[in-house]
Amino acid sequence: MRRNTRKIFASKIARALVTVVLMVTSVFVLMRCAGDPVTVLLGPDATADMRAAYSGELGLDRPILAQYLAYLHNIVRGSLGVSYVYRQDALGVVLSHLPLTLTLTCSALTLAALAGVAAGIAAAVFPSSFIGRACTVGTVVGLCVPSFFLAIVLMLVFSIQLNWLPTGGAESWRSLVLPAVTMAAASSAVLARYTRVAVRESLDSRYVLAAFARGIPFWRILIHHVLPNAAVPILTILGLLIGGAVTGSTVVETVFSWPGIGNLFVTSVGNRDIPVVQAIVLLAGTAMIMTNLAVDLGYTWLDPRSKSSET
Amino acid sequence: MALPIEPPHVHTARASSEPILELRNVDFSYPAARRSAAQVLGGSRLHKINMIIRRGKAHGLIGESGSGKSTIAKLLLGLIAPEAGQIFFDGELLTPDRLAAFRLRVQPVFQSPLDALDPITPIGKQIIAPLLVNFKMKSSECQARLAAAISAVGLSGEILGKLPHQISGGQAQRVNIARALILHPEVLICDEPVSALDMTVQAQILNLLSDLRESRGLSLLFISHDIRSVAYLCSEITVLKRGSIVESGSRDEVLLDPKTGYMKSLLEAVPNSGLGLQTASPSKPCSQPAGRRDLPAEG
Repeated sequence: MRRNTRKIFASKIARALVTVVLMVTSVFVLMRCAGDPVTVLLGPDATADMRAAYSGELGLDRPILAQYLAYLHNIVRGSLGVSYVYRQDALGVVLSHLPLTLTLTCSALTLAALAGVAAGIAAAVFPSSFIGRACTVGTVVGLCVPSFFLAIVLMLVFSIQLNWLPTGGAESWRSLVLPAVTMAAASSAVLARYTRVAVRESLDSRYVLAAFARGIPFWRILIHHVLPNAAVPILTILGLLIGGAVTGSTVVETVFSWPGIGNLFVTSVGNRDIPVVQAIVLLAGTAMIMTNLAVDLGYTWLDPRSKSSET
Repeated sequence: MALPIEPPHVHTARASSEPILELRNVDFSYPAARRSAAQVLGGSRLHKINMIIRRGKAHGLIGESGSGKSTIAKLLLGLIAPEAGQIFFDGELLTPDRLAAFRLRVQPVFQSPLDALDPITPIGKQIIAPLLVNFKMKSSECQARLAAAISAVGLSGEILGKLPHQISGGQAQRVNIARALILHPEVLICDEPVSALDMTVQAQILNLLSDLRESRGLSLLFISHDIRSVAYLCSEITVLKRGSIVESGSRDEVLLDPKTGYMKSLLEAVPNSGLGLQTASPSKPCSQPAGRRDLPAEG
């Protein structure tokens, strides 16, 4: 690895670590502002003695700074506390739900990336054709229709009317189809829109005109010049979608009863299960930061100009 | 389809004054949605354009913004097709099936040199790309042509590994000229090639174009706002106004004896008292900006 690249890499990692510390602190403060978990867990009929004993057991009777330091100390040791509800390691609870969420989000993002980028390129290259117009209309529809509404419509058509696919659960690959399509719809619309703009801008540039005039075939220009130059904005959007996918699946998981992290998050917030919520937010935030870091490093690979501009 | 390595033309066997590129009664207009502000203000329609570029000569095209100069360049490069009229290249009608071969023999040099280069592709790859795509050539031959092309424009091999943002505007324009030369073209269509450059670099590029025309027998269409540059480089001049040709002829005819009020007003608008026309001799009609040499007499 060249010295410049190492320097850029180290600087980006340092920035990512600072962001993680800020995020951890924000999560701690926000969860303390969200209400007393003891009241939720014991119910309104619990006596003061019971509440005090339970607070002491959970460590909530200590000063807030002591709780914060203990929280940081545990994170460094790799422990995010014990779930108030499941009575297990909070991180373990979250990680047990992670594979299902990853299955859903990876399927949805793969679908979104393929459909969105292809539709965006088609809309940019053939703007006046039927394909181009269909892609443009499709992206507008994808952006406008809320995912919970699309989920219900898909369920009514494919599960209830046609009886092709299950309405919920995670029993087989057939259970994955509707949640993945629902999640992919909005993401692919966003990707298609940004891809269309980026490809159109590249197609209208002088270097493309110059390449045409030099007798270079259109498809070669598209592959060697247009798409590489359009890749940076597309990668940015893809990075944001990947980073947000872990928590972005919450609505879809809830509607389709998909037992992933999103579903667990909704349940844990309702139960004031602070350690689990903190673990989920920490995991999602870290995923977002790591994705941004990967995207930043991807820029230097896709656009060699960024190497010299960073130094 | 791979084309033969050398285009089927002979530089020396033809009379140097015969037409190589000709527009006959060409009409063209952009769709309303694609007109630029200048085209809307100036009238975007080209009307009955007749123009001849002769082998081995430099032909100047001048006119105000929106007059249709760049549109003529695009027509001559085969990037847009005329609505009416015909374009002839080397005596043959230019038809869609001849465009691929035509584009190898007529090459462009655009206005903003850095914009004409792909920002993320190294210079060497960009210069050699038209060669690799159009000809089945050995790597050693490609490298030899690349070396010859960059040497012809006065650049060193170091520049080949750089990206466009790492070179100056003048170097970028030399790269664009090298990229055109690597195909051994017969005509260069230069659309405002020096307007984005500072005065010193302008002079260097004009001298380079002049030398290339001399040494390679290249024909040039030189489009510019700058009458002094056109006067310096070109032996024939066409004047365009709102999509129509208002004056055309030899350099001396157009600059020393303008027939139209429009041309007279263009000459009067030139800074430093109208090109020194009062004192110029017919063989050297214009004042020479710093750095520009006297042109050798054309045959």
